[in-house]
Order: sequence, then C-alpha cells, then structure tokens
Amino acid sequence: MLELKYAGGTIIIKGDIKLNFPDFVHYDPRIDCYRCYASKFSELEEFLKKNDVKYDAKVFDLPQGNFEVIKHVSLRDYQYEAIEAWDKEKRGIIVVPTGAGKTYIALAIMAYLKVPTLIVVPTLELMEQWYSRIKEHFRTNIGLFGGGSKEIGYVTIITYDSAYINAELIGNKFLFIIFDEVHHLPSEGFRQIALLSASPYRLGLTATPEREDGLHELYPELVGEVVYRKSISEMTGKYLAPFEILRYYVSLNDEEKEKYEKYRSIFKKFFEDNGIQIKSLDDFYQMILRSGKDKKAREALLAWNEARKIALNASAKIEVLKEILQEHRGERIIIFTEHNKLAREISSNFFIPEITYKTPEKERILTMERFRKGIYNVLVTSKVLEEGVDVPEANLAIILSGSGSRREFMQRLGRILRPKANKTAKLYEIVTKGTTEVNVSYRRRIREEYFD
Amino acid sequence: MLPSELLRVKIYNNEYIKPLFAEIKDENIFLADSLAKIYEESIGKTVKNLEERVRELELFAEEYGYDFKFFRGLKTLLDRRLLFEEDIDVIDSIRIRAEIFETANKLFGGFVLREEEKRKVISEVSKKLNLNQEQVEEIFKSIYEEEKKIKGFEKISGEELLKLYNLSLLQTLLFRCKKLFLDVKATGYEIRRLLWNVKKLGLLYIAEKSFNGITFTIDGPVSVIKQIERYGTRMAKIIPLILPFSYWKIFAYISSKLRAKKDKSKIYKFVMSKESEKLFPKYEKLELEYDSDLEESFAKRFVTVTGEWKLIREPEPIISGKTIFIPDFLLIKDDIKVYLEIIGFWTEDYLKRKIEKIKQLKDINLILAIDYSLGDIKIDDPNIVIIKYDKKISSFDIIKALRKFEK
Repeated sequence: MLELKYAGGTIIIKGDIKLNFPDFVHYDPRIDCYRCYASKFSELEEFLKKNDVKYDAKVFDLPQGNFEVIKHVSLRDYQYEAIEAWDKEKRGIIVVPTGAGKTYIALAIMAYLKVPTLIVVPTLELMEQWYSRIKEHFRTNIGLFGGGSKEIGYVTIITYDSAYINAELIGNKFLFIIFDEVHHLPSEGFRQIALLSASPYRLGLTATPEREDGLHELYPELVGEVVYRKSISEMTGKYLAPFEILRYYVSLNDEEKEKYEKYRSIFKKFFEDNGIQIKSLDDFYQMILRSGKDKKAREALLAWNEARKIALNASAKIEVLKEILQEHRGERIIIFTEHNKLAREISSNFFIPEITYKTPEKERILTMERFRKGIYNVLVTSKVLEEGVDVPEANLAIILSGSGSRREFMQRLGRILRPKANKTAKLYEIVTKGTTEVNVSYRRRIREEYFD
Repeated sequence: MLPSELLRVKIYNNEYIKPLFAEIKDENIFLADSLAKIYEESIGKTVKNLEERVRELELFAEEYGYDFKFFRGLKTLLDRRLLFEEDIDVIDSIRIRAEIFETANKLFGGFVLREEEKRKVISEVSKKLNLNQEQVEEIFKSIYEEEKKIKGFEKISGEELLKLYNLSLLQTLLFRCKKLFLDVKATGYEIRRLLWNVKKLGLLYIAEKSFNGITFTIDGPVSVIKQIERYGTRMAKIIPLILPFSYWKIFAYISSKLRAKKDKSKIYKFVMSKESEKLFPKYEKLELEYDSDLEESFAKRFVTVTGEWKLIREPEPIISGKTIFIPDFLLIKDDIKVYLEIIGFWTEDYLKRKIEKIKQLKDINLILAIDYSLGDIKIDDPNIVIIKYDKKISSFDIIKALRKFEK
C-alpha cells in the first residue's frame, strides 16, 4: 500500500513497494521518499492503476460549500463547439477574440462541473469582473485572493502574482483551475502555479496564445493543448460589431519643441558617438543594462525618456481632447493615456474619474462599479484596462498616444466598444506630429520598470 | 529587502558573485545621514515636497560619483519608515471625490470643460456636503500619493541605515538563490528557532556535522525535481536569524543574467562569513524562553537540589546521521555528559517521530522523562534511561537516574 500526500506543491509517495517509477517521479534523499510535481497527480494515479498498485491518496483538501446555478448562460454556436472540444480531455486552451465572450464559456463549464474552482487572472479589474459574473450566475461562496484580500472560497479568484506567491497553499484546494489570459502562464515564475497544482481539470483562455519568447510550447504540460480556435475574421459581422478609427495629428508648441529638441540632441549624440541604433527591443534592453553602469548612457536614456514624455503629453492634445469631448457630451467614453501624469491632469481638469495603478483600490472598485451602473459616463485611464476587461457600454474611446499605437491594440480596443443603436463605435487617436524617434516600441514591462 | 532592479553586484573570476556593500566610512555615513535628515524634516509636509528634496540630494550624490541604484536603495528603505494619515481620511476623500464626479456627470454629461462649469460642480458639492469650496478642492487632490501628508517617520542614524542597506542588499541577492548552505555554531535554542522558521517558510533542510558546528543545506520541496528560484525570497528571510550566532558562514548558488548568454542565466557562487558582520545591523542574542511551565519549574528546583551536576539549558544540537536532535537540557559532572529530554502531551505522530529520532542517536547518554499518560515506551539502548512523571518532574528521580551514568 502506498500513501500519496500533498506537500508544498508536490506529491510525496510513501511506502515500501519497489516500483519502476516513470521519469517524472524523483527520489528525494532528504525524506527518503519519492516525489513529483503536484500537476503530475493524475498521471501518477494512472500509472499506479495500470500497475495494480494499491494506494491511499490524501492529496486534496477541498473547501466546503455549496454550488448552485441561479442563472443559466445562453451560449452561441461557437461557444458550444469550444466547450465540446475542451470536454474531451477536460484540459486545454480555448482561443477566441476579445469580445467573443470567453468568460461565458468558462461559466458554462463551471455550471456543469460544479466542483471547487480556482480562477487565475492578471489584474484586479479582471478579478472584480469575474466576481460580479459569478455572483450573477451562481449561488456559492466566493473567495478573493489578491490586492489585500486573502480568502479561499468554493470558487476563488486570484491574481497571477498572488497565485505565484501562494502556489503551495492553493495547489490542493481545487479540482478545476481556469487561467484567464493564459499567455501569461508560461513565464518562468507563473508556470509554477500550474506545476504546483494538483487540479485535474484545467482551462486556459486567451485571444493571443503565441508568445514572442516561444514559451507557448509549454502549454501542453501546464494546461493542455489549444483545443479550440476561432479567428476574428470568422466572427466579425456576425458576432462582433464593426468600428471606425479617426486619427488627429497635433504639433508641439514652441516651448515644447525647444525642450524636445534639447533632449533629442542629447540622446542622438550619444547614439551617434557610440554607434548605437535603437531598432529593436533587444537594443533597448542592452541600453538599459548599460545605463546601470555608464553615466553617459544613463543621461541619454533619461533624455530619451524626457523627450518621449513631451511627445506623449503635448499640451495641444488637451485642446483636441476638449473638442472631441464637447462633441460627444453625454456619451459613454473611455480615455486612454500613456502616462499616469496625463491621466491625472485630465481627471483633475475635467473632473473625470481616473483609473491608474496608483489609484487606491477602494476608489478603483467604486469607480468601476459606478461606471458600469451609469453613474459615471466617462473614465480616464493609463492603459490598465488594456487587457481583457470588459468595458461595458462604452461607445467611444480616445487614445492620447505618441506617434500611433500598435495596430493590434487598436483592434482589440475597437472590439470591446459597444456601439449605440444605429451608430458605429468610434475610436479616436490623438498623435503628436514629428516625434517618431522616441516611439520605438518596446515592451510595457520594461517601460514600467525603468521609467514610471 | 529591495526591489530586484536595485541589486548591485560584482562578478569575480567569472565564478563568484558579491553584492556591492556600502562601506561604513565617513562620506557614506554623511550621505546616509543627510538623506535620513530630509525624511525627519518632512513630517507634516507632503510627499511631493519630500520627493523634490530627495531628488536634489540625488543629483548631488550623482555628481560625487555615487551609483543611483545605491541612492535609490537607501531611499527605498527610508520610504518604508514613513507613516501616513489614517485610512479613514482616504475613505472620506473617496466619498467626496465620488460626489464630485457624479455631480459633473449629472450636470454636464460626464466632464467640465469650462471654468464656470467647474465652479458650479464645486459649489453644488460643497453645499451638499456642508464644506467650504477650498476644502472640497483640497480633498479632491488629497488622494494623490504626492499630496499625501507625512505623519511620522521612524528615525534611523546614517550608520544604521548603511548597515540596513547592506543586509537588504544581501537578502536581495538571495532572491535568486537556488541552494543555500549555512555553516553555523549556535545554542540549541537559536537552532530550534532557525529550523522552526525554515519549516514555517515551507523549506527543507539537511543537517550535517561540520568542523565548526553544523552545516544546513537548505532548499525547497520542488528542488529535488528541478532547481528553481522559487525559494530565494524565503531563504533571504532567514538571514537575520543567523547574524547573532557565535559562528556563521553562508554559501549560496545564485542564478544571474550577468555575463550570461542572452535570455539565459548563469550560476555563481556566493560566500560570506561572520568576519563581515560589521557591515550588518547588530542583532541582540535571543533571550531564552522555556517551552513549558513544566520545564521551567523543574530547572528552578533542580538547581537548588544538586551542586555536583551542572544544568545547561538548550545545549548545542546533536547530529546523528541525518538526524538533528536538540535536547531540552544537558547535565554535566566532571567529564560525564547526560542529556535530558522531556516529553509531555503531544500528538501520536509527533511522539512516533521523536522516538524514531532518539533511537537513531548513538553513544549519547540520555534521560527521557515521559508523562505517565503516554503509556509504556520501550527503547532498547543501555545509554537511555526512561523515567516517568506525573504533572511535575521529580529532581529525586533524575538524580537517581544520573547515578546510573556515574558508574
């Protein structure tokens, strides 16, 4: 008789039976037992059954509670197809475009599995969104984990950060684990959430599964293969609303131009003196590494950043913004900025509620709730809404950016807009003319670490 | 502990990694003192004001060739010592701000574009909430981090700040530690607390006898499957515990991207011993505390009963094979050493493990005092004497047992 026990994100195998264990099981001299990742629990059980080994598994410690469906989800055809594809293995990733209701797919699965479920989300906004959806459809106790709260419920919603830190604690408490925006999962740290979890049922959701670093090849081990995929072109018209992009160009004023030129010449000179061309993310990364040691490099980098800020925050943009707002008074509008500072300026000048990562949690929750309810019509944010969050009933987005946003972002944003009757949704972009040099695209992560 | 991006290290011989510790010397102390002073003087003022003054000093420090990461490190540590006004004010401001946004929405469809619209909103809100208009405007801004008022600051001297920085830097290095070796000499009580913390943090250890005392090899459950960085932050947390030990040496495998191929990491070694302790804050030796009243009352009575046998509490741990055993007492007379372990009310599992452990001990004289209620326990070892007690341990019984070892 073997005894299987969950310990710190692993399964410990105790007992005297000599077995030729598969490769994923390792001998642990520290405790004189065998051990494997908790995620291998199902595979281990299969192996033991095949070899007719009797065992006693004390792996799960599931939260107590009831789970009752109070409102059924009505599904579209492709959502049914996705669920059928997933249900074969009860593992895998469903890829559908933003706005195609991936949350509903997950809710429908939860409604028939009826087991303790963990939902892993990248942001607090998404956490709040899942919370209200679950409350709407199920009667159960919901635990929130992240952003200050730390409760486990029959259904628990947790951020990737908290799940990483508490992976050992949550690893044996759920039978079903949902990874929202699953493309975050394969990163070096976050993948441990999946590896240290014993949950047999796993679902990944995303619109963009592929990763630049190629780590998407880890999906089969972590959550399962992509089991269903539907592209935007297959859905536009029938399920997704079309939208319109309008671009405004503004110029820097004389003072800004002068400042911009000053900073520009600093970093230009540095680049020329050192034969550096910033063309890719990698060049940029090298530059940042270098700036840690080299004072000149740091100065150049700071100058670049200053120039960038001028381009992004040009005062003429505020004027254009005013004009657009004037035209759309009373409509549902979301304004996006690159920097917190500009979001704040807009908020305090126009009395528009702001959401940035600096906003206190209580105000952020209140603001989102009131926006959803229609007590507020307008919102300004420094892009924290970018990922996954439903922007309910907004029909207009205004982006104040440098010299043009990534097409992909615009597409994504366009799709979350909900047009008013007989009108198409509109997307305005306000861009600064003649400042392209500072707008080499680099990853958001790097920007946050070094500039914000 | 600092954010990883403020870590400063140097690589030696392509093999060793070492943090760039701040030397405890006059000019460094002067800089740290000046910075701490700015914080002290900021009580009652806004964060914005503090940030501006800190920025001025940072520029000055950079002029003098200080690394900005070093300066930011000191700043990070001082920021944590700030106290702000209570949360209750924040909740009030959130409520008042919500009122402002709602009013702007109701009156002007979502936003104010002209000055007179803005005034109208402020006057409506001030009437409704019974505040004057300046108050409303001030509260609107009070939520911003930089407008926050500083209520207090936990003072620190420049020298202490540098030492705290060094400790934090060392801990930050360990964030990316894959395996930690600690070679230590310490009392049973200190080791007990160390191991209790190691366990509580979800780490595992192996203890081995070493030339100086005991070597602990520390990593986590998954480490046997794959060496991962998961346990680094937890390892960092145990460092302050070993600093007061009478001897310590740290050896660690650290993964770093420095001088490594793109997107890859390299493993470096890190070594440091008690000789460097002047770099770090001084931690007081732990006060001994008794595990139970039972032990305390026994120790007090026993000392008065016998002069010949010396009673030592929480002696150095005993290592036997893979087992570490920390007995409650050591009794010494001339060159005879007898350990005393008291077993009271515990769970069955604990008792089983304890007995297993004791059975593994070799060539050690041991008296095992066992509570009556635990029933009969037999250990087949001439060097182990079992006595039973009821409610309190009789000194007489112990002396009787000790006679056996005197022969």
